[in-house]
Amino acid sequence: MSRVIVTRIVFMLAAIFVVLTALFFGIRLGVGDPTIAIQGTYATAESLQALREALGLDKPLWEQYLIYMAGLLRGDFGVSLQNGQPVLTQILAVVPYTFDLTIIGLLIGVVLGVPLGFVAAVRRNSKLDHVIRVMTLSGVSVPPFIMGYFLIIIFVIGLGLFPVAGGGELGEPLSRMRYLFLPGLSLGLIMTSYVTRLARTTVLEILSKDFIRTAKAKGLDQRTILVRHVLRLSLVTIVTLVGLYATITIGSSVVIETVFSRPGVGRLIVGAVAQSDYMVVQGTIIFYAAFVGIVNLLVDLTYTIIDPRIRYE
Amino acid sequence: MNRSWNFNRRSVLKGLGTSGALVAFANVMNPTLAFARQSGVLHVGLDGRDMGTLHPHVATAAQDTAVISSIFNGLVRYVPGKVSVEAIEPDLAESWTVSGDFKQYSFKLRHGVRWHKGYGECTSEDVKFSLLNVRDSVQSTFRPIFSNIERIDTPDKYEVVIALKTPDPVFIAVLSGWQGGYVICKKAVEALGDTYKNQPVGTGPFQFEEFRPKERVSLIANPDFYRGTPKLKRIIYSYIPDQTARRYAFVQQEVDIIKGAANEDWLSEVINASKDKPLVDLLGPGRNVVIHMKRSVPPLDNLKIRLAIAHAINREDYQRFFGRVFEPNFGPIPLEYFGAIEPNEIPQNLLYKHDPDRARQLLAEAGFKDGLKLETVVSERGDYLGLAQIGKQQLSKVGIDLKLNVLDNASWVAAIIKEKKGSLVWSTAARYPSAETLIREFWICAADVTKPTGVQGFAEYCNAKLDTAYQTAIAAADPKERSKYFKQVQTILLEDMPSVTLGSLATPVLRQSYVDLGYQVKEGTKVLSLPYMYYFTEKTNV
Repeated sequence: MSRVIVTRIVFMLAAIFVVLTALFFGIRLGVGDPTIAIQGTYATAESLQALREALGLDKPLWEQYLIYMAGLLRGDFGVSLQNGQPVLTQILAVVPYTFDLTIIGLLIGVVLGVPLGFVAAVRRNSKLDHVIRVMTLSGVSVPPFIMGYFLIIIFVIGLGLFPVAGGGELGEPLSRMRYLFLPGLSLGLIMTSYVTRLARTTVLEILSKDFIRTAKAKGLDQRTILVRHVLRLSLVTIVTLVGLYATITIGSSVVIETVFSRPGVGRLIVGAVAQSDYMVVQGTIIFYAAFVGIVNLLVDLTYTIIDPRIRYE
Repeated sequence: MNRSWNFNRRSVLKGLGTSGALVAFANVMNPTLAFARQSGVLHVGLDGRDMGTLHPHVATAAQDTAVISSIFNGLVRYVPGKVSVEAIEPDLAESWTVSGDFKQYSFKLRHGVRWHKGYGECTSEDVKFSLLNVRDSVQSTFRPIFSNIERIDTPDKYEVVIALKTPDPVFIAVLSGWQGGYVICKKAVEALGDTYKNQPVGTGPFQFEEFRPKERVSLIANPDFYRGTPKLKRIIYSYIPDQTARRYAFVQQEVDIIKGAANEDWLSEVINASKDKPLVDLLGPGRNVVIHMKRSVPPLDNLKIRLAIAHAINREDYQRFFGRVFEPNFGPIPLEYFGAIEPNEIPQNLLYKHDPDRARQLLAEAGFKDGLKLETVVSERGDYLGLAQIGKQQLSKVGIDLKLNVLDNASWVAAIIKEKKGSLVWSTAARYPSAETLIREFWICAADVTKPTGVQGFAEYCNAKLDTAYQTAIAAADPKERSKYFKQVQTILLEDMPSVTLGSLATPVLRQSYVDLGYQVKEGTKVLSLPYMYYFTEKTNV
């Protein structure tokens, strides 16, 4: 098992290397000039050239690449071209906020979505099933920013219960929760819709299997069939897709972070792209690639716990 | 049906758990916790994504200059709320003298001005280091403005003598702490190196405390400030790029000050939705709104076409769209700038009022009886896009079909500055309110973007007669004489029409009624404040 984990990590590092290399050259050809972003409309051709030299952007691309990679091997992610702050410091400063948002979004999604999907499947074509299906269809159809504004109108403007902008104090759990509530709920409700639909489809598929019919024929009671067989088996599929959703959630969080002016990795990368800050874009992409790799590894390991028949050799 | 309650261990634990959860949730939902205003803490909602740089010789973004103005000082400053040569008063300098030929400026510095964070006293060495840095550093954005400095001498710790290459009667304005005029700490720059730009050390009323990426910059009061200890304990500048979130944050009093949208409906909605009656101030100098017409894009090299475009413009449409923040103008320079040509000084034949018939006639005379097609690039930023869309509609009414290619702001800047793209270029610029600032950047020959020295001469315009008038103006010591030549420059511009000026846009800023700026602001009049945000002084309070 440990060999499998090591192999996965090696593959993950190789994937990050490939992604980063492609990004390094792609971003320099496709994204704007950071010196223009810094000097704006005050720039002259002379001052732009001088700034390029000062930032080392006048060197050949291969040389810039080697310098960057050598830095990475020493654990140096470089500094932002815009504000001179170390990239790693900036990423670590916003990761907790994105982590909070992603976890709460997934948690709400799973806690509400799995039971709702399960009930909808078991009571297929009932009134309750129809209501759940309509609600989840609405949920997946609503763009995250609309959901955000909708909650702002209810909880901020209507009830005046929550703050609208910021992330709260990291060291104060209560403040952190207050600022997390609305963005977390926005993301959570969207995730709930996705997970409910997924859980319903999965459970329906399992309910139509031969072994379920056999279990019923054996005289097993409904509760045992649903909990022991259906739920357990459906969890493998649900865990797989929740793992996939975790990466989607982090993407959706970009919009939510913008609507609620929350600090986060999503906003960091969007800002960096807008400012043509190559170094920050590269750093955040490494973070994303590592995150996706780790989530996939955890999903694979979770299979073996849920279904002992699954073994990695 | 009677129900008996069993008080066993399990039910008690359940009850306690439920109660605990309810108490915790009630705490989280307690409105008084979120918005309890801390005494002496000012919250400002900025419309930027994040901090760029807080180095005052590099920063140009509005969200950075707003913060910088509270941290640093120049040798001189404008009386808060006013920006003009008459409103300049000593700041780090306690007095100054100017030689008769306007080529030497001598300053006596205040004694005992302390740098933040224990970097000692601010002396003539720091002033010399700062001015040479802003003139010579490759990263300095404002090199052209300070290029006239020939030499700086420091006879002693508290004396600075600046020698200029050519006479400049208003050089003092350059040292006012705007666009590179702020004095930086030599010791701190040497100690911190490149990180000085994110850990600035100044002499101002507030010192840098903390930067949280994508969230905020906070400043704390400088107890050693030479004008007295600030009344505010802290200023928190939050980055709230989303306009809707910024508006709600202001309405809920999470923030005390925000920059508003340049749109009358938006401003009215915010005022009506707010609990107390907030105040809207218009900050100036206004941004000069100009459409530059590139000479290298036919048929814009034809004067008749440019005049047709000038006559197609209806400034009333802009007034309807932007509301109180827009002030129409027919001259090239905003009316509040020194040396601006007034409407009654413009000869009738050069006053290009809205006249669609005349525009169509000029197009026909130029050989475009059936109209013409143009294509250009424009920024997606709300104000630029609004301006361009109104322009497109107005031009279509006289037969000019303009195709707008909308780009994100950074790509648009790169397109017009670096790649020289576009045909009609909308630009907005606010500078120190004297005519030479805009003439120097937009219309003298050296400003032409096709030249290496080019800054924002998007019209690719060059007229030796204009350059001569400009040089005569800036060398003139007598204000009347300066003004006369500036107006001559503007008359030449109206004759040649390389660009159409529509008017100027002020920056609307909203503040809660309980914010005391510490200086008098007359409601309804424009507050002059160069960083696009209020100046916060030692007297500002909430």
